[in-house]
Formats: sequence, C-alpha cells, structure tokens
Amino acid sequence: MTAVIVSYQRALLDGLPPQWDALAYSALFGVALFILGFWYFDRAKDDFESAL
Amino acid sequence: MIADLRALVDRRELLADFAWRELRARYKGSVLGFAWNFVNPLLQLIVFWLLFGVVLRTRPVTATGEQPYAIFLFVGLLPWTFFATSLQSGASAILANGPLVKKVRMPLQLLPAASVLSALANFLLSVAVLFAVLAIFGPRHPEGLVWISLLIVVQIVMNLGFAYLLSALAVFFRDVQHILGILLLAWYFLTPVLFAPSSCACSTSIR
Repeated sequence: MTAVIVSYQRALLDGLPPQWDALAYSALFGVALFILGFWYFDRAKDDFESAL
Repeated sequence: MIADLRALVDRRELLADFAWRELRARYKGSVLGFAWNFVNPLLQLIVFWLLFGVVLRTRPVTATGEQPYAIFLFVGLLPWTFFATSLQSGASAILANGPLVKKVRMPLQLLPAASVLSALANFLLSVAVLFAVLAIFGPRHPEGLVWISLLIVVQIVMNLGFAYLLSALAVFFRDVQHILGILLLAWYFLTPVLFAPSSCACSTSIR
C-alpha cells in the first residue's frame, strides 16, 4: 500500500508520475492476490452453508 | 473460475443493489445518515491534524517541498480509508449476510465485490471533495490527475483480492475479523499516511 499512497501524494501534491518500479510491485501483488483470493473463495463457497 | 467472474458483469444490477444497500445500511437509523460517509473521514482528519499538525508540528516534505499538513493528510487518508473499509466490510461480506447465503441461491461472489464497490463509491465521492479543496487551497497539479485513475484501478484489484480471501476465511475462522482490526492499525502506521517517507529515519529503505 505504501507505493499506492505515495503515488497519490506524488500525483496530487507534486504533479509527478508514480515511481513505476514500486507501483509495478504493488500492482503485481494485487493481481496475484486477486487470483489467489478468488480461487480460494470459489473453492470454499460450497462449504459456506454448513459453516454458517 | 472464468464463468464465476463473468457473473459479476452479468449480474451487475444485483451487484449495484447490494452495494447501495450496504452504503445505506452502514449508518441506518443515525441522525446524519448517509452524510456520515463524509463526516467520518473529516473528523478523523481533524483529530490527526490537531495532533500531528498543530501539537507535534509535523511538516511533511514531498518531492517538490514542504506541504501543508492537513492537505498532505487528506490526500493519503482517502485512499487508505478506501483500502481499510474494503477489507473490513469485505471480510464480513459472507458472515453478515448469513441468512441470505443459506436461503437464497445466487452468485455468492457478488457479496465481497459489493463491499468493495460501496467503499469505492464512498471513496469517489470524498475524492470529489478533495479535488475541490485542492482547487481552492492548492497545491494545484492538474497534470497529476492523469495518474489517479490508474491508481484507483490498482487499488480496486488489490481490495477485491483481499475481500475475497478474507470473506471466505472469516466463515471458517471467525477470529479473522478481530485480528484484521489490529493488523490494519499496524499497517496504517507503517504506511506514510500520517507522515512523509522523507521524515522517517529509515527513509532510504522505505518506498
């Protein structure tokens, strides 16, 4: 999240583009997390009813 | 998995309904109602501004120099709130809708997405307030606006990832919701929302 927050601050307070390498790291993490999260949710959702 | 993802697009009206319901439900019965969505970050802003800006006299320095503390805080606080709200309401998306999950057959993947969507709507509304504040008080950097939409997309993907993972985990391990509060607090202080990375003793290692 650091890269994302700093990018907001750079854009709005300094008018500068993001630091690409740091933001790319965050973006890749986000995509990987989305795939993992959705995959786990998809697998687990059939057991929700019995666990609730 | 692809078919399940597609349901998010096919059932977008239901998704929007859920998100809208969540936005209204959060402050249901309170006097200010929907306005709490704005008042909450504003009050947080005032508390932190008084503590760090006035009492501790923090002067955040960014790439182009010193910034007014309240403005600096406002810029960081809104995306953080979007992140934290997405995770917290995302984590309870399935648990809080238990009766619905048990009784109604519907694509369950809509629920965490609706949590993130309602947080996004909230965020976009408060960003409009932020833009108005920046236009009046400055600094004015319209060229920086280009990057904002990209940052929002990165955040949406990340928040959705967390929301799906946490909502499913929370069903089996109820502790998730309680641990999340503390983790988010620690994460909050590790992220440069309240201070500029340049003011940290370890500034070279922080990005």
